[in-house]
Amino acid sequence: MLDEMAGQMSPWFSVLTDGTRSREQVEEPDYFKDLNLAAVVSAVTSGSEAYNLAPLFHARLQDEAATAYRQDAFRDLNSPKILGAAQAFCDSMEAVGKIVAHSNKVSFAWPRQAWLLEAAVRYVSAVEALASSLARAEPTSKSFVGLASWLGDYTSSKGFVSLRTEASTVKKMIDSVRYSVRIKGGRVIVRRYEERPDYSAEVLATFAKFARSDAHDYRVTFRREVDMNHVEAAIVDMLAKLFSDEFAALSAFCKSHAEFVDTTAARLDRELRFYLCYLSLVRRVSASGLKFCYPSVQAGSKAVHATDTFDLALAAQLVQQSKPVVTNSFDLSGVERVIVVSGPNQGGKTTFARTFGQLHHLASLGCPVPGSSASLALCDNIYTHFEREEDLSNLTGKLEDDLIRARDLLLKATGSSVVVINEIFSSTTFEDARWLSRKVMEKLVRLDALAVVVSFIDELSELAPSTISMVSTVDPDDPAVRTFKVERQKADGKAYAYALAGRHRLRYSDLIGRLSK
Amino acid sequence: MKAHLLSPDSDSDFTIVKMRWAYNVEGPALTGRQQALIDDLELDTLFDAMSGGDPVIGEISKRVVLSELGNPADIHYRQAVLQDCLKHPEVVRDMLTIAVEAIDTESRLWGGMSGRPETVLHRSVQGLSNFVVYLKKLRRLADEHASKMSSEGFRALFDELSRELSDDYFREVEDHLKKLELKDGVLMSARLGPALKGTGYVLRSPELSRVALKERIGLGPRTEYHWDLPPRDEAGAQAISDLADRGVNLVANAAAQSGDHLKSFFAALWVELGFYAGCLNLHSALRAKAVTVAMPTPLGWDDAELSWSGLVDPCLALRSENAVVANDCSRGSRRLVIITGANSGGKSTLLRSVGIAQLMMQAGMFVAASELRSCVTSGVFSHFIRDEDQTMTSGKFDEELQRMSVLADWLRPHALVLFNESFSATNEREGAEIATQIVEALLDSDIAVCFVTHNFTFAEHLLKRQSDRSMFLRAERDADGRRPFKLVEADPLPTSFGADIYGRLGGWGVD
Repeated sequence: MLDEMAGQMSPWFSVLTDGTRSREQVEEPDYFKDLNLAAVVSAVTSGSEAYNLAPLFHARLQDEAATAYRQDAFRDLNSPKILGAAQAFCDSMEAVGKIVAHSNKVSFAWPRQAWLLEAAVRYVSAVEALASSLARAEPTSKSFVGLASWLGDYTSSKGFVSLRTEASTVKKMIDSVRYSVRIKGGRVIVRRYEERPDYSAEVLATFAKFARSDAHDYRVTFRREVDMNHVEAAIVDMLAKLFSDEFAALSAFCKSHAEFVDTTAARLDRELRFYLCYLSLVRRVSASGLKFCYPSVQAGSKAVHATDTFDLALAAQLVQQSKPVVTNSFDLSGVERVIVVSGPNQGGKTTFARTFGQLHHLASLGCPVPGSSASLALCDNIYTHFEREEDLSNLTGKLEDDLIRARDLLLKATGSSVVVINEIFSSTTFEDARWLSRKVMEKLVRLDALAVVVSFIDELSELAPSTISMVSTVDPDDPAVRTFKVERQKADGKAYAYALAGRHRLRYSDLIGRLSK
Repeated sequence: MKAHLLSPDSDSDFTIVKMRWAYNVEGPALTGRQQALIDDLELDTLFDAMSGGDPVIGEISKRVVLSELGNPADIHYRQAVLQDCLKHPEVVRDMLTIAVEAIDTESRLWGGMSGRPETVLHRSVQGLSNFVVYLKKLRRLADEHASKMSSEGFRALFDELSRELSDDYFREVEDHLKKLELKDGVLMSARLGPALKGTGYVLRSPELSRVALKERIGLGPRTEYHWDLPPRDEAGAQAISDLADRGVNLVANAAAQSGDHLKSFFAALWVELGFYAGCLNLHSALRAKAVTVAMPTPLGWDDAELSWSGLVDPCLALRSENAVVANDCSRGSRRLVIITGANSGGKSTLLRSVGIAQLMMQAGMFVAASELRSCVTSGVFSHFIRDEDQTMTSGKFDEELQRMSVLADWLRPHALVLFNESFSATNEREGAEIATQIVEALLDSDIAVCFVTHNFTFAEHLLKRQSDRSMFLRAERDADGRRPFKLVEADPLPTSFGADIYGRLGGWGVD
């Protein structure tokens, strides 16, 4: 918007992208709801709605240099110094914005000008604090090194230097004003302050000898009116006469510095929030012991893996409720491309499938992802097919809808896509579903795309060398308990029965142990 | 300025508060240990006698008795104060009356301590004026009786009263009470806060400032401006009064806090004198029952001359129509006392006598004995068999062990633990094994134990293994089967005497 103006002062600079304008996408990607990424973005941006950050989280990056630029910035933010500096800057900029907005609504002239001065003072110190802490923190990423250098230029520019000098001079003058006010009946008398004892302290001193413990505070809490009433305004008008130099200086400042916020500084404030907001969610979630890592991200890669990973949307919710989060791992290597997930219901199959999709989206934003280690593909797109809840009354319609969506997906997807398919064709007969599913699988295998397919038809996992089987598991001692672990194992449909035997301690090893006593 | 009648250097952790119509003692809730002692030693009788019909005195007494002093010096300090009280009960009671009335009259004043600062200020000035009346009474009482008292506690208190409550001091206080009416308006200093709103208001001594003559006749620089409220400007009037409130707020707070300080002073006096009033009440009650009392001799932990003679359970004596049996015993340095013998033979009574005497001694009180020498413990603990499993979640034996485990969390070296038929909710062998392990662990942790038991296996274990650290008392019976309720030092016998009692009761027709 106003970037051209900033360009006059220094070359284009962004902490989000190297050289080019940062990509933004207002519309949510189609797969966002299915993968619960909408919930992730709303958890990330919650509290920062005014900055409209979601478009930054919708747009996947298309090349490895771009993801590396952001990963490096995130790594710099691992340093508490850099993180603290960025956070403090954004907090101060938010306060500055609020004060400026407020000052425009104030009707009395003196307080309006004082608000503007206050905002300017805070702005100056926010910019300077960021500049000096970044300089001390010695960042290594291109984005923070660039930010530090931009700040160096800006803080030594003529405009900023005069803003700083004048703001601090005027602020000191106003702060030094000391006065006394006497109220007697309907008359208010204002004078310069003359030394007199603090009377409340005198009273307390007289009776302090009886004190046994800290006294109760009887002070009435006044409503904190931010704005003045006309009596206070009259007092300030009198003070403007008693302290005419101080108040004249305030007027002059406001005339020459009405618009003091630099447009690039304002944009950088928003861009930094992309990092800070995401890290804030990472911090909340990892406080429970969960891990995040910087994935290796490669375009066209087929060897993907993640260890101890989890669904970020679900984890954010569970951690808030202090509930444990189950982690899972996957690893595709060699010719392997498609994970077929089967096993007991409510066992974490859908969560696992979502996690796979989420990781690829988050990695392509240049963000750290859930897990202790990961390597992921920089894909051309992500396609999902999740069962729709609606239209349960019309089963034929539903199957048709399923097939239309499947076809749509399979026609668009390429070998560089990531596909997540969750329990489709459940609205038809088993034979139908098996036949249709095999058709879907054949297409996926031919595409050579990375995919997760959740299906109750476990034989799908043996369809081709590129398919592997993972199974949601139960507690061996109590099959009624889901572990939410999805593990790589043969899908023979017998795991559940095996676990049930364990509950009664009738497994072979159990029986040996019991009989040997 | 503090009354230090209970302890030379620390304050009690509870105070007196008014709840609706009656006064109450407020402080930390009784601990599980204290509650168990009340139940097990049947202490309510003792506190009831100490209250003399005044529940506040009863509650104060309970709190003080259940917070044992930790060393002989502190006990001697209270014993001396108590001696003064016993010699001059009227001084104690007069002073107590002043403290109670000071607080009571203040609580009856009209007006609240919240709402507008002006209301708070007005009410606080009234409260302060009221307290001044009682401070003067206290000063007069001190002038009159100071010379009679010889204890360190009373001497310090009277010295402080006459030093701190001087005539000059009363003049200073009255000067404040007058100024606090704010006849010259409200004068505040301030600086400019955010957006030029006045902030940092401090109320200043309200005398008027002089304006130079030159300025008054329009020459020289203006040092003063004023603004007058236009007629019928109601919002302005409100704003002015709100502004004045900022200053009044501070001085109202100062006055209110000063009132609280005075109230806390009188409340502390009430607490401290209340305990001694309780001792005086108990003293009369025991005298009426012809119970011998004496000041005990508190000893250090390693002192080896522990003994008692003429020891009775004061609670039993207070409840009983007849004279109760007194016990004598010379323990030397033996930390473990095992009491065995006949049912209804006075075993539990002796255990209670020991516990109560220990508590009273460590409260600085006299004890119900003709002589008592005992070491000062780090606390008295009780573990008595309970009639029923109150929780319904665990078995009786489980409950006993759980209670013991809780108790173990509280125990420190030099404690005294009283067991009454503990660990008997299981078979004799298991009970003996567990009880032996527990008792030996306690002894080796430098904790004293007094254990009433029917478990002969247990008693015999200890007789074999701990004879040099133990003393064995036995409830005897005389030749005709009647109990003398007097215990003698004797080894445990393998049988109990239930049949005797059964026989005395006449049985129930199954023989």
